[in-house]
Amino acid sequence: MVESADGAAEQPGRRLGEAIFAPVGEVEGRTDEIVKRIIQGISLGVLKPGEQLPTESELAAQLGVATLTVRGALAQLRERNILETRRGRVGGSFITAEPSEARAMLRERLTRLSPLDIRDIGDLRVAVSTAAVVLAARRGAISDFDHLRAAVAELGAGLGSEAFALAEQRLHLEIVALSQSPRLTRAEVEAQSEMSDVLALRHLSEDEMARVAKGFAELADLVCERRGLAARSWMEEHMAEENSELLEFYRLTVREG
Amino acid sequence: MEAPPSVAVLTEQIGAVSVEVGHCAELLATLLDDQEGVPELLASWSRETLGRWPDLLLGAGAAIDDGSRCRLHWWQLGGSGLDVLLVDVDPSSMGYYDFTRSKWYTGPRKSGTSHLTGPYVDYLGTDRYVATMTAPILVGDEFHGVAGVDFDLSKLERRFLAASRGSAGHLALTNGEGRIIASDARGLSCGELLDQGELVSVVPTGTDEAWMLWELG
Repeated sequence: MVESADGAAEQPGRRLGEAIFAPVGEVEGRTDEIVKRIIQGISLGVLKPGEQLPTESELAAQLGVATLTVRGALAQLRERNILETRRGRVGGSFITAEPSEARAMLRERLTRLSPLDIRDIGDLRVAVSTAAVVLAARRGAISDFDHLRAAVAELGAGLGSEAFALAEQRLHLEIVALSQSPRLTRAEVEAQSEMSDVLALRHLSEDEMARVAKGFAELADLVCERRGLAARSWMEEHMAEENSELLEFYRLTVREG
Repeated sequence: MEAPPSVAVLTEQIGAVSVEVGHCAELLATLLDDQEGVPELLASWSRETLGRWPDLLLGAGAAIDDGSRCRLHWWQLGGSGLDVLLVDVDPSSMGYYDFTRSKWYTGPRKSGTSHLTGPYVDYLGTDRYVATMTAPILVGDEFHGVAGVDFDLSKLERRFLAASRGSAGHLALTNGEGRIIASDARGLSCGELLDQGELVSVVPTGTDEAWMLWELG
């Protein structure tokens, strides 16, 4: 920002204008996204205490963001004692937080969402996934269905709760993509990303996972038989149930915290 | 019937794109050991190819398997020229893109020839609605990845609509499994499957079987 002698830079109107149009918001959003991903990675046990992260430039290339953005995210993570940076020949950024600590941080993040947000994102996901499954049954090709069945089979492969939640989200995306609608797909990606802390934290029992996996196998059959309306009913019921469980989980977690 | 002249110009161009992708794959097969030369060659090939068909293509590049790992080298037309396409290679993340499981990769691996994937929503890669033409990089019988291009469907559909104006019957351009890329028939749009139980016949375009032009009865 160029400050002029007459103090024009201090005018509230101009500051507000700059705040609105500056790309900083975008950068902050991305920094936050990286912080969130690393915390989620630790809570999932994919990133382990003592593990070294890739270099700033490697991370920037992988995440498709500027090095500066990565640096900002790493600084935030350092401040919160999630990782430490060692200097020297064997230097780099190392994970210091335990999975339980990462989970506590995710729980804390939950309070950013209100109960209304949870219900509302849930409503959007119902609308998107029911519309998408009808189109998927009509527009999916035989080769797509092979892929769908393989993705459904992964759900039943005895995954842990967190990995299962991730696999289920990916499966939702695959189904939405079969609708051939870029806009529906984008809406699903955005809704999932808003809901990701809740989805990552919720623990599923073996029984629940088995039930959901079996349900999705039935859904895949309906889609492959091109029975769009039956698939739609299944999806509507499944999502309504999941939404009420997510809201319940949210309430309990926020009250405990 | 033969395709109307204006449609034939378009199908010839798609055929030429396919031939070009095949050439690139053949060239890459001879250069696999050249760690530094390959990205350089691909960068300039992508630039030239995208420059040659700017009203058809969105991106170009290759996914190369050197035996130990598979790397994606892909470029895409952006607001300010050519952008490198970066994808999420972190298996624990939601956006993880294991492109070796994508049809544009597995198609040519299975068939040993060119493959036209899509239209599909490429939500893990370009985040666009595209159709991808790929050809296998083969050293003898050994598969080492694919070279390819992404068609920009908005551009391609507009071209098709303009070209098919005034043709006697209705036409549909599809991929090898009958998914419509562009059509001027009522009720048929990009992304739908062509019902081959309808009265349809193939219009010869003189190229590979990765894509087809249909006349609708």
